[in-house]
Amino acid sequence: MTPAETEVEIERLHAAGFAWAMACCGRRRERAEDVLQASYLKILDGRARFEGRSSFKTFLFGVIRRTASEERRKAILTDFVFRNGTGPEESPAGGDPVSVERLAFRAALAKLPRRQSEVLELVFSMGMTVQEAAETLSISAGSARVHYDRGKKRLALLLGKGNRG
Amino acid sequence: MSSNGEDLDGELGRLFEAQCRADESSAPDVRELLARLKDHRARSRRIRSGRSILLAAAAMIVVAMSVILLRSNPRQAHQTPLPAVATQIAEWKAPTDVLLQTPGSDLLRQLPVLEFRASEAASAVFEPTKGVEK
Repeated sequence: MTPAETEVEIERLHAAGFAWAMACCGRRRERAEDVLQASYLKILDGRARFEGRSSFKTFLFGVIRRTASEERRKAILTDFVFRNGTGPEESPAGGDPVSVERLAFRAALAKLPRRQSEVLELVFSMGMTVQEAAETLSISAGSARVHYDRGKKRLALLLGKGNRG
Repeated sequence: MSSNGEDLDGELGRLFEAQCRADESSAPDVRELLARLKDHRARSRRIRSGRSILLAAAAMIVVAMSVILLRSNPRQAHQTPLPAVATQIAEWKAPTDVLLQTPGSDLLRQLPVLEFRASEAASAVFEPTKGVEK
């Protein structure tokens, strides 16, 4: 794939990539932007190379996830040293039912183990198959299926609890 | 929320979809981001090339300095005169040296020389002697 083709693909998948970066960064917008920028830089510099073994989307999302993991490790250290831990950035104003529902959903999603929430995000938000989600997360399809199933059940339980309470 | 599997999938799909759409709509401008990245790459390339030029210059200076030092040291060694004691020791001969001069001892100090000329060897005729009846 030529650099120009890579740029076209990046532009095409940019919005979805940003949504995935937000998911990987616990919906911290600033961090998600940094992760996305670092991921694009890796691809354009050739440090992350697309070999054509999967779709470009799977490759890009895999790079974003790895970069987010690296950033998370750095952030843990920084937060520990400087004690400047930040919560989720976005907090929509107003009490409209959609925002409240979304916030409750986010809170429930945040309670899931990371792998489970990642698989669910990839399948439900990004429209990937469980197999593609497994490739993106560099895990086996069997593991992805287990994470998907358990995550879905747990999320339903958490949301049901939230609705009743 | 329904306990039915399909209903659950549909409900989760709707919630994830809404969240994803909200995230996607707040994505930064891709062209601006790529332009910023290009600037960043060009800058880091300049820094890298500048750094490699500096490294090469430093390496050349080190090489030049070591060559100068290596050349200057032997010259200094030649220029400094030997101490008188060292000269005396080098020129000293044992009084019993004469006892080592035995007959034929000069043969031990030189290589034997074969008197053989290539032109004579070429013109020489070797006649077979073995198995030839006289």
